[in-house]
Amino acid sequence: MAVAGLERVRIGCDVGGTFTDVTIIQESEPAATFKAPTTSEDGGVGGLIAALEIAAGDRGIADLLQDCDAFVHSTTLALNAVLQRSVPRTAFITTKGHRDILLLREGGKSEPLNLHIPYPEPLVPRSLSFVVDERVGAQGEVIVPLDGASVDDVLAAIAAADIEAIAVCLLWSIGNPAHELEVGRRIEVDLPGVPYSLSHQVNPILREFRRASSTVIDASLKPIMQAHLGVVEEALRSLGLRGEFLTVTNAGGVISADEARVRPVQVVNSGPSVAPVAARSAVNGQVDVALPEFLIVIDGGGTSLDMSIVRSGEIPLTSEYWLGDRFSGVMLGVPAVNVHSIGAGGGSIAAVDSAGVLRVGPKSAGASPGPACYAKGGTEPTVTDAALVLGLLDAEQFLGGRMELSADLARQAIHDAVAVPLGLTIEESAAAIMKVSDAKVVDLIRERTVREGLDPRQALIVAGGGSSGFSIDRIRAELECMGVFYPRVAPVLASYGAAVSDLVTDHRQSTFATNWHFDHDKVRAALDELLDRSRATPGRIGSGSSDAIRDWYVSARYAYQVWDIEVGFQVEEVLTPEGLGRLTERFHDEHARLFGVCDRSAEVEFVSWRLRTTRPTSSSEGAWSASLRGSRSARRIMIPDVGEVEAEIVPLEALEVAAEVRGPAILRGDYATLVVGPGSVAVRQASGGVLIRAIEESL
Amino acid sequence: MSTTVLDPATVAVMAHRFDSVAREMIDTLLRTARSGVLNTARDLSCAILTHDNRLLAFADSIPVHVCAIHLEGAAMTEIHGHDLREGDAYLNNSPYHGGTHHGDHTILVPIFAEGEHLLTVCAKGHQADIGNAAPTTYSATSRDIYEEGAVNLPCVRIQRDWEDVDDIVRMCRMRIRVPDQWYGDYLAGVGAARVGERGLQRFIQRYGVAALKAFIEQWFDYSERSVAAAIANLPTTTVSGESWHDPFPGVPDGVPVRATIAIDADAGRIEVDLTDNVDCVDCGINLSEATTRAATLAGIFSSLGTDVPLNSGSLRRVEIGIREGAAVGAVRHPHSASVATTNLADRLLNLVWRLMAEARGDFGNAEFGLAIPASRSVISGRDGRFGGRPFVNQLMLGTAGGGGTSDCDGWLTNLAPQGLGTAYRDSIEVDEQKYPIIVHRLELMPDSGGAGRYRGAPGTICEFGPSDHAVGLLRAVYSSDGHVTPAQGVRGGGAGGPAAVWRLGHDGSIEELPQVASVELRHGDRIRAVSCGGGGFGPPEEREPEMRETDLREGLVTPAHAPPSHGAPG
Repeated sequence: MAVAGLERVRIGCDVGGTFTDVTIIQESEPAATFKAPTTSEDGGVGGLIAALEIAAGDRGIADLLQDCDAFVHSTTLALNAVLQRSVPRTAFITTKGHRDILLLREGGKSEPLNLHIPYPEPLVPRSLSFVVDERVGAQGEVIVPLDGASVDDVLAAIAAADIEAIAVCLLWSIGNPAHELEVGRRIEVDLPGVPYSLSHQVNPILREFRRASSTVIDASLKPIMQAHLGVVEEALRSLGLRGEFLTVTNAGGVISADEARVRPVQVVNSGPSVAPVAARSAVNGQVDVALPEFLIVIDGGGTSLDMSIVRSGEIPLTSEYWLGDRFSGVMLGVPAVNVHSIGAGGGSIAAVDSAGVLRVGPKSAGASPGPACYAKGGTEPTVTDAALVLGLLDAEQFLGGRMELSADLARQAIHDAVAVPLGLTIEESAAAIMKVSDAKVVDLIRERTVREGLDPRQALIVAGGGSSGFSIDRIRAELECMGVFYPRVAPVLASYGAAVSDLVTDHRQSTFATNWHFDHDKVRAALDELLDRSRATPGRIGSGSSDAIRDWYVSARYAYQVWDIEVGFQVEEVLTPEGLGRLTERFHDEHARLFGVCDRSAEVEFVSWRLRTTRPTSSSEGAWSASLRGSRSARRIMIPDVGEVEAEIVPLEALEVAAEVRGPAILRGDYATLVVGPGSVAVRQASGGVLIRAIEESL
Repeated sequence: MSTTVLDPATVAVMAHRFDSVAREMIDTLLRTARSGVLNTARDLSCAILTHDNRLLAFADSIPVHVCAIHLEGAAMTEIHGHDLREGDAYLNNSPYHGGTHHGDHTILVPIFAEGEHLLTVCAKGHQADIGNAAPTTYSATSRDIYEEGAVNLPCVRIQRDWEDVDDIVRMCRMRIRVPDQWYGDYLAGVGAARVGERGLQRFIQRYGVAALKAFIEQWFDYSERSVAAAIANLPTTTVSGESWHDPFPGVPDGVPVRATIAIDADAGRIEVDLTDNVDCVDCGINLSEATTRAATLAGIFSSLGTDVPLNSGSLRRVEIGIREGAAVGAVRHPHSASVATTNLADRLLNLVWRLMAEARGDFGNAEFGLAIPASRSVISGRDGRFGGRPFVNQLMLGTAGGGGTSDCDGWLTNLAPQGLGTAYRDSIEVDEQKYPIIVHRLELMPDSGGAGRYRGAPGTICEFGPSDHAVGLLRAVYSSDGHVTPAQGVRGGGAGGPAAVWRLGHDGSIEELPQVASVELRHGDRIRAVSCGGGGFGPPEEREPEMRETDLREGLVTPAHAPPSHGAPG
C-alpha cells in the first residue's frame, strides 16, 4: 500500500545494519510501514531512497517528500563505529599527569573468576593521548596556569599524526573552563578545520573518566556523522524535501540534524533508544483496555533483545549507559534511554556445556551465516531453528514468502548440538532451547522491574521486532503480566518511534543546596536561567506540534552519598519551606522504594536541576481495517511445557477489528509470527494492533 | 527431603534468578553508601546462603569477601539459632566468627517462608573507619586485637522486627570516627539485605518452598558435576611451593606462605594442604579462616576454567586443610587479622595460581601485582572548606596490574590479587571534592608489566598531597607488599615491577619511605607511590611481533626494556 497524496506527512526512518525501515504518518491514515535492504556501501542512502520509493508508489518520491513537514532520521551507523572501534583517528588531550584517564577507566569487571577476558581497548589509544601543562582545582581555582608551549608541542605532534578529530578533557574544566577554551582556540588557529570537542561543553559533569569518554565519542563521531547526515540530507533535499530534517537522540527525543552534527554524542544510540518512545505512542489510545501504570517494552531482533520500562508514560533515562556490554564497552557518560540488551535474539546460538547444561547465547549466528535453517552455511542451532522445528514458524512464509527455510537443516543442527548430548528428542531439545532463551528474558524483566520496585503482574508488555513473537505470550504468562500488546507497526518499531518522537530538550544546572541550608533565591535564579535557556531553543517542528510541556527534576542524595536519584518537582515547591518539606519527603520515599531504606534524620543534598522541555508531536492516525483476505487453517505445533497441540493458523492482516483468536494459535504476518498460547486469547484492536491476554481475565 | 524433580531448564532459570537478586543487592549497597570506599571504590559484596549455611550465589562480588561467607551464616545460626525470626538482622565483623577482617561489616538477614528459615542474605561492605586505635582499617602494626582497637561485633543482633537495636548503634556511634558516615553505610547494608529479602520472597511466592528446596540440591549436584568434569581434564599430580611476604612490622624477615596441591583427575578431586604454615605472628597480617579459604578457592576455581560455578556444591570436590593458630590458617584470638583480606591472602592466592599454572601448563595465569600501594592509603585530617570538618577514608587511586594468562595479557585495573578487577577506582575529581587533597599524577608505570608471551599488566605511578584547604596535617596510612619480592611470572614469564613509595617534600627533598607507614604530610608535600605490575606468562621470546610493536608504540614497554625475540630480524 502506497501513501495517498494531499495531506501533510511525517516520515520516520531507521537505517539499521540489515534493513532500512520507513514509517509514514499522515492524518486520517493509519501509519504505513516499509522495508528495504540497507546499502552500507553508499552510507545507507540507496536503501533509504528505495524504501521511500516503495512508500511513495505511483505518486512518486518527489511528491511524497514535498508534503513532508518533518523527516526524522535514526541510524545505528555511529553505534556500530564505536562498537567495532572503527571511528576516525582521534586524539585526546588532557591534564599533565593524567594521560591514562581513558585506559584506567573507573575499574570494574564482570565474571570475577574468569581471568581470561582481554582488557577492553579504549576508543583512543594511549599513543594518541597527549597532556598539556595546567591544573585547575576543585573550587575552580587555577593551580597551574596553562603553559602555551606545552600546547604548541601537543598540537605539533597531533598535526604530524594524521588526526581527524580531537577531544579535550582537562581536570575540573567544569569548575573553570578557561583552559579548555584556550586549547580550543589554539586548535582552530593551528589545525583549522579539524573538528574538536571540549568536555565542559559536551558533558559538564563531575567524574573525569565519564566526561572524557563522552568527549572522545563526540569528537570521533563528528567526521562520520557530519558526512552521513550531510549526504542523506542532500539526497532528500535534491528529491524535494522542504520540511525539517531531524535526528533521534539517545534520550528518545529529536533534535535538528544541525545540532546532531555539532554534538553527535547525543545521537549515537538513536536506534535502540527510540523503541520505548514508539511503544508509548503505539499504546496511546490504541489499546481497548485501561492502560496500567507501566509498560515493559521488548524489541526482539536477530542478535539481541532490547528491553526497557516506561512508567507513567515516562521514558526511562540513565546516566550510566555503556555502548556495548557493561565494563567491556564504552561508557557513554551522557543520559540515555535505559535500554537493556541481552543475547536472546532469533539468531542466538544454543549449546550444551561440559557439565550437561543447555545454554543459549550470547553468541549469535547474526545475519551471516545466520540460523541453520537459512541454509547459508550455519551449522549451530539457534532460537529461530528451534521455532521452526516446533512448528511455530512457517518454512514457506518467511519474510512474506521471499525466503524459504530448511526444516531439515534446523533439525540436523539441533540433533547434533543439543539432542545427542542431552539424550533428548529433537522436539524436546527445541522446546528446551526456547525455554532457556525465554528464561533469560523473564529474568531480565524481573531483575529490572524489581530493581525499580515494580510488580510485573501490573504491566502491559509492548512487543516489537522480528523475533519476539515466538515467545512473548509465554513470557507474559510466566510473569503473569496483564497482557501483551503487539502494535501493527511492531516489525518496524524504531522507524515508527522516529516518526512520532517529540522535540525534547534537556537543560541542566548544577546549583548546590540542602534541605538544611536552602537558599530559595539562589535556586530560583537557577531555575529562571533554565527557563530562559529552554525558551531560547527552537520552538516547533512542522505543523504537527503544539505548545511546550515543561517538567522539572532534581538530582538529590544524602550527604556523603555520591550517586544521585532524580525526583520530579513543581517550581512552587522550591520557593517555600513547606514546599521544600514535601520535596524532601518525596526524596525519602523514593529512596526507600528503590533501596529498601531511607534516613529521615540525614541531610539531603540537591545537586543538579533539570528542565525537560517537550514539544509534542500530534500524531492522530486514522482507523485501521483488515486489508487482506485469507483463510484460517490449522496444523500441529509443539509448545514448550505443553506439548504437541493442534493450532489455528490465522493470517495477521485478515483479522478483523474485535475478532478473537483463542490459543493455541499462530498469527502469521509478513515480517513476524505471533504465537498465542493455550489459555490465551488474541483480540484485534481498532488501531490494528493485537492484544493477547489470559482467557480467564477476558471472560 | 523434597521429591520434586526440576527439569534442567527450570534449574537454569532459578540459578539466574539468584544471581540477579545478588546483583540487585550489590547495586543497592553501591548506590546508597556514604563512604567513598563503598560508593566509589565498590569494596563490597553480597551473597545468598541456604538456611544450613551453604553458599548458593554471589554474582559479581569480590571473591575474598564471599567464597567462605557461609562461615558467617554458621556463626549466626550457632549463636542465634534458637531465636532467629523474620525482621531480624545481624551484624558481624569478627574474624574469629567467620568474618574476613574487622574492616568488613556484614549484615545477615534470615529469610523465612511459612515460618521456616529457608535462606540467609549477606551484604558485606568495607567500612571507612571501624574505631581502630589508628585512623585506618588496616592496622598492620597491631600486636593483638587490643592494640588494634577495632569495635569487634561478633555476630550481634542489630535489628529486630525491622527496627534497629539501638544499644549496638549507640555503641558504634561512640567508637567509630565520623559516625554519621558509618550509620549511612550501615543503612546501605541493611537496605541491600532487605532488597535481597524482597526479591527472594517473590521467588518463593512464585515457585513455592518445595521447588526451592529441590532447586538447591539439584543446583549443588550440577555444580559438583561441573567441577568434577573440569578437574578430570587436569593431570594427576602433586605440587608444592612457597611464597614469601616482604618484611613487615614485627616480622623483620617476612612471612613464608606454603601450600601443597594434590590433583586427582580420576576421582575429580583437589586437596590443598596449608597446615605447614607458621604460627600466628605479632602483627595484623594473620589470616582469618574466611580469607584463607576464600583466597585458596579463588585461586583453584579461576585455574579450572572460565565458567566453573563456585558454591557449596562444587566445594565438595575441593578440600582445604588448614590449621587453627597459623598465620596462613585460622587466626586465633587475640592475634590480630586486621589486614587479612590483602597481604598474606594475596600471597596465598598468587601461590595457588602459580602452582596450578605450573601443574597444568596449558591454562592459568601468572602472579598478580601486590597490594596495598600507598596510592590506596587511608587518609584523615580536617577540611577547611567545611569548617574544619574531620574526615577519614581510603583512597582508591593506584592499581596493581594483573598477571598475564595463557591466552591474554593481564587485566589492567586489578587493584590487588584479591580484587580480581571487580572493585572500582576513585574519580580524582570526586576525591578532590570530598577531601582537601590534590592528585598530581596518576599514570601507568612503563616497563612494570612482567615480560612474557602474555605480558603482565603494568602498575601505576601516583602522586598526591594535601591541598591548600587541608587544616593542619594530612595523615596517610598504608601497609604495602611487593617492595622486595614482586609478582612472579610463570612458565618462563618475567616478574612484574616492584612497589615503592617516596615523600616529595615541600622543600624539594625526596625521601624513600618504608613499606608500612603512617605519614604526616604538610602543605606542599606529596606521596609518590609506584604499584606493582603483574607477572608474565610464558617465555617473552614467544610474544607475537605485533603485540611487541603495540607495547612499544603505546609506551607500555620502553625500547631499553623490550625483551629479545626469537629469530626476529633487528
